[in-house]
Amino acid sequence: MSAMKVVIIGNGIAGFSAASTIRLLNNQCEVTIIAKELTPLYSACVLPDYISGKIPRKHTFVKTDRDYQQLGIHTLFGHEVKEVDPHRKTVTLGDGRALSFERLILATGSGAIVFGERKKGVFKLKTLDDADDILEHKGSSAVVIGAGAIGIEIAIALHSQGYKVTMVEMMDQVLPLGLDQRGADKVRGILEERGIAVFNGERAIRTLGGERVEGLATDKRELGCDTLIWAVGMRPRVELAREAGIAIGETGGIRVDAHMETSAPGIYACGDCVESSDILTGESYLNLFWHNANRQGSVAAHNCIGQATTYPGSQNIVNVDVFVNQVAGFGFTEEALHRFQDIPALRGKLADLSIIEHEQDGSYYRLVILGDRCMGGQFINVTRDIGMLWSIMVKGTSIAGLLEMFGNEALMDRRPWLHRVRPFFKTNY
Amino acid sequence: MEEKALVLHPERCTGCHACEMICSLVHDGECNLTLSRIGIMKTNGGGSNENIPIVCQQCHDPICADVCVMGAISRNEDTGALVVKEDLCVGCKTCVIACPLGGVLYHYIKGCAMKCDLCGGDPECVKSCLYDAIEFLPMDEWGRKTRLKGAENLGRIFEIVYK
Repeated sequence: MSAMKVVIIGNGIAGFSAASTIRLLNNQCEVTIIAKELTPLYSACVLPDYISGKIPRKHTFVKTDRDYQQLGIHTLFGHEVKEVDPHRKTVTLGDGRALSFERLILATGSGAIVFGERKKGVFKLKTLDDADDILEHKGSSAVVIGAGAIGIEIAIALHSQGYKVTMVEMMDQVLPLGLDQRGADKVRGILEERGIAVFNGERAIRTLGGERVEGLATDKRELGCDTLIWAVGMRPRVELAREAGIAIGETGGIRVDAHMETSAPGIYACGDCVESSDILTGESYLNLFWHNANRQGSVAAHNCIGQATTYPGSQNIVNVDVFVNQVAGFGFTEEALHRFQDIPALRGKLADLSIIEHEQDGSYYRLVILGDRCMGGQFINVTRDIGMLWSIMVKGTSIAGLLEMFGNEALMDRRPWLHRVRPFFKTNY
Repeated sequence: MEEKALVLHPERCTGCHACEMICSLVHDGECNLTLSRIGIMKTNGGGSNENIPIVCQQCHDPICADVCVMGAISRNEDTGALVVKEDLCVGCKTCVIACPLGGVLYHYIKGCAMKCDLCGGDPECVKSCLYDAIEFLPMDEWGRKTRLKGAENLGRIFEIVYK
């Protein structure tokens, strides 16, 4: 059998994970990664740490050029893909060169959403270049639009660089995807205590200023600034797939099956550019997280070379350090359950919603329980026992079963780790 | 190399903390319970045992390595241990949060994640334990011992029933 030619578009974690997995399983394949950026794999998640000066630039890199050489992965960095032809199985590069492939993996990732004019002083944060631009800019007052995890991390990073920082969030709370109102209010309190002003429930309308940004007009006020940062979310980059006639899902990501294969046979997709099934409900959402991309890349690679593997489903976990306060959340928030109440997995079940909530000495947790299953958790300054609760949620262990085990010392002796989560359910048993 | 694992016996553990002392001593040069990779959990339930040793189990499909945004946790092929590359770790604590067992901890001096590295294949905690509550056994022997224990129990039942 001649060596199979695999082409991977995108050099994020999904693309690299796919390439290295193929290499691990099969050293005959010819693997080529095409990417627009010139750098080896870096972690976009740590860019706020780079901006705040906590880590140097070289520390953001996860791999070096040598790692690619050692793995025997061909790299075409600095090249943009103009066209994918799923029928003739070719990829056309920006310089007109065409590459043929037997299997293609799309790992085109996502791009930050930016509205309005790109004036001088208006930034986003998704790539290393973005971070370099922000550091080069050296402003003194910043407005961050969006108070999700990325928005909060950027705000804190800029604050540590001496900026006067204001945050504007359209929703009524900070971290709208990770926390419910009460936890969010505590996070907001921490931010405000440190001097970051937070305006919730305000919509950004337009940027002020001429060539340079001078401020932001919201529906309630005008805020002056010399740096404006968009952190309202990410959008999958699916232009290539769409032009190639590959099916795009309703949420805007490339539609894939459990094998990460797209509607075009032999073309796989993974990472931020796909919509993937949620592990709790089986519904397809955008789950733009590092660990999901990593897993998807590996699943796509297995299937790509003929080892059937299915993707277990995406899980979400948010973890933000808010001025040394560890804020974490996984699964659904109560608000999200209400928002998704019409999907098949949740329909008619919301009547059984219960909440376990506890607050003590600056630490706080809230477990969202639906019927007999844990559906999510939110934690502030609780770290050590979250993993157990997370795995209880993912495994779908029933709360009744847990309580029964807590009551049976012989069973608990054989599962000592369950002692850790017993306090969380104290009120109920 | 033969795959070996740390086997914990909560029923033998007296909670003397010797393993924690030696662990922090060999890794960080000081006896400091907060810098120990292994931990004795004291439960205040009404159970028969109140001291439970907890240490990383070097999972086959490790969630800590999965969630690490720097790819800083990888397996050492020689010892089979999952090891934190401290120069890569940025100290975000996501692995600490994600591990169900509490096997990954935060090193508050170095500002990075810390976890059991099996001492490079010769765990000191095993040698320090006076009560054999921690054993370092090949995987298949572990299974054999467990079965032996089950057989002993069966034997006891037979004794009761037939004598």
